[in-house]
Amino acid sequence: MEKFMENSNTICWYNSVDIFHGKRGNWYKKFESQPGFTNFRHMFGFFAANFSSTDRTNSIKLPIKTTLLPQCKLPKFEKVNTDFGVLCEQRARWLLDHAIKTNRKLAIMYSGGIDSTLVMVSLLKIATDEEIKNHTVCLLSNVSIAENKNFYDNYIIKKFPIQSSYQFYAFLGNDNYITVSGEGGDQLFGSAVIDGMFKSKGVEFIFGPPKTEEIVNIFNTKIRDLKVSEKITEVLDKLVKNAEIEINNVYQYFWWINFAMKWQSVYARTIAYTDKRFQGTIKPEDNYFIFFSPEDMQLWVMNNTDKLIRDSWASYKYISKDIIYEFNKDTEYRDNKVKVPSLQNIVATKPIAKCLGSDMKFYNDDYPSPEIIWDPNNDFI
Amino acid sequence: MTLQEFKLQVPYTSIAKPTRIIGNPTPMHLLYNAETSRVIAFSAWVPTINTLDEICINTVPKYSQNFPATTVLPEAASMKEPFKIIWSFESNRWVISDKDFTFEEMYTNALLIEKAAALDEINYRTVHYRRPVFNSVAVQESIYLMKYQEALEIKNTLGDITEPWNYPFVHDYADLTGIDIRQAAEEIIIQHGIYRTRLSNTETLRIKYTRQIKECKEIENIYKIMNSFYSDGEVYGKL
Repeated sequence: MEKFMENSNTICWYNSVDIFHGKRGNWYKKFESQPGFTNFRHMFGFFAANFSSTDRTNSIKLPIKTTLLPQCKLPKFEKVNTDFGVLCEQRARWLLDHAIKTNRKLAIMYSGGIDSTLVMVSLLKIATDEEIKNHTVCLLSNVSIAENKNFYDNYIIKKFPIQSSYQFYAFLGNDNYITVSGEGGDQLFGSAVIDGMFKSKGVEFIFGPPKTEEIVNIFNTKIRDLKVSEKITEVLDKLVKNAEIEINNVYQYFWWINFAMKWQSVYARTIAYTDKRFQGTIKPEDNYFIFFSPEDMQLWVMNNTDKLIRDSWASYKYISKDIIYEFNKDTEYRDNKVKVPSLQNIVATKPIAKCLGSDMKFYNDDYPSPEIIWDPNNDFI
Repeated sequence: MTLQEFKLQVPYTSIAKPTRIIGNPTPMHLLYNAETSRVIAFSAWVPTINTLDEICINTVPKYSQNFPATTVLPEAASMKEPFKIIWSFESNRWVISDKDFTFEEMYTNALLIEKAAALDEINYRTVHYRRPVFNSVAVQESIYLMKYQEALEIKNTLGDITEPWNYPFVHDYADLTGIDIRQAAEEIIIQHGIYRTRLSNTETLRIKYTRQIKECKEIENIYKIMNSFYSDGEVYGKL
């Protein structure tokens, strides 16, 4: 086992599959007797198998102790009057200038989905052809091409240097590149778990008030243990009650959980795939960025919770789709494009680190012992 | 499962899927668990026929038999203790065998059958991971390679590329999609890069875990290795 705590005092990301997956978790037996384990592990069955939870509101005691990275802190709420499209353009310009100043290239992970298409549109709006040619590389796969064929034919192939995204890990921490992913977009606008609720519960329920009994039922449809579902609801309610903004409906309830608890997980999960030869040189906020992380974008969302979605799952991220439409006039994409998971296709068959220290130390082979990272006084007991 | 646990005959679950039956006419003794009616050891194995450098390290069995004994031997249903069966060439059927094994022999054989099953599973999943780029149309993979070679030549030449008989694949692709020849070559190179890197990832995964299984000396560790294999392969991707 690598000597944990020798150079790193805390972790910022862990691989929940190894600890909580009943069938595939090689470390399951090491942790299963810890207090709160059973209740907590059902969270992963409901939200996602690989989900390193961190509470950005600091209102619940999670079983696995993680440190919040400074760049992942939840912004203090304030009233703002900004435009999301302009914020995206500013972000794109800042990232491109950062690459130009340091004579590197932006390696942009492009899936063809709504978030990464918005990243590319923002770049195309603010950059010259020369800047794109000399300071960007578009990482894509055959799936990216198929997901947004018109955009690929009309813009990507004509403007951007292209490399395969199946080797995205070779760009992470590489001195010549700054990796930019479209992560954070899902956390800004909603939560993937709501998709199924549109079908099973209907629109009225989703935009109705989040009553405790009904939230318990939602959890219980997957968890199938009423006591566990009640416990999870009780804990997550604290997170929602401590929100600085009003959470008015079921949609916002699950968006807030995603926004408050999964932010750091999506920020760090790509880093965990860094090739071993570049693990010493990966530097978040210097050669690695997620596009949608700036504080002003988060504040825009906190000020515009009525603009997360309209009245159907197809309208999820309609703000982003409208910005894309204004640029390319692709009506089909605007009206019919729905979110599909993209990262899964790229990361399948790639080994990943077990956990990350908050100082970006990689733990490739083992986990710290439960005595070190498990909080015996957590809220899931 | 450790040797000690094996001696104590703890409930045994095999990696081998009961439906994955590969017929093997080699005479062999099979030790069955009476309770589950599943094979837990066998006495002979056939080394995997392999290619490239792997031939010198691959000496574990490819063939695994793991099916309810009752499907081939009705009297197995009444057995109360672990039992062995053997293929009888005289009667052309499986029969109860009276050959004795030491526990060490059983453990070694069980280890080998689990390795065989694990390698079989790795091969099976590797095919699954390659499916997105696998094409079953005859000669298609050679065609991809020819297109790529033509595209590379076009990219690297400043000379005349307009004669269609020099670059038939790229010319036809350009005509079909309404783009110029150099752009068509560029697209083909990109497609080939995606194809190659996707395959490279699956090949790395296959070699890494095949080696781990071959070097493994404890049945218990095979399960851990296979968990890591599944996780690297797909479970971690379930974000």
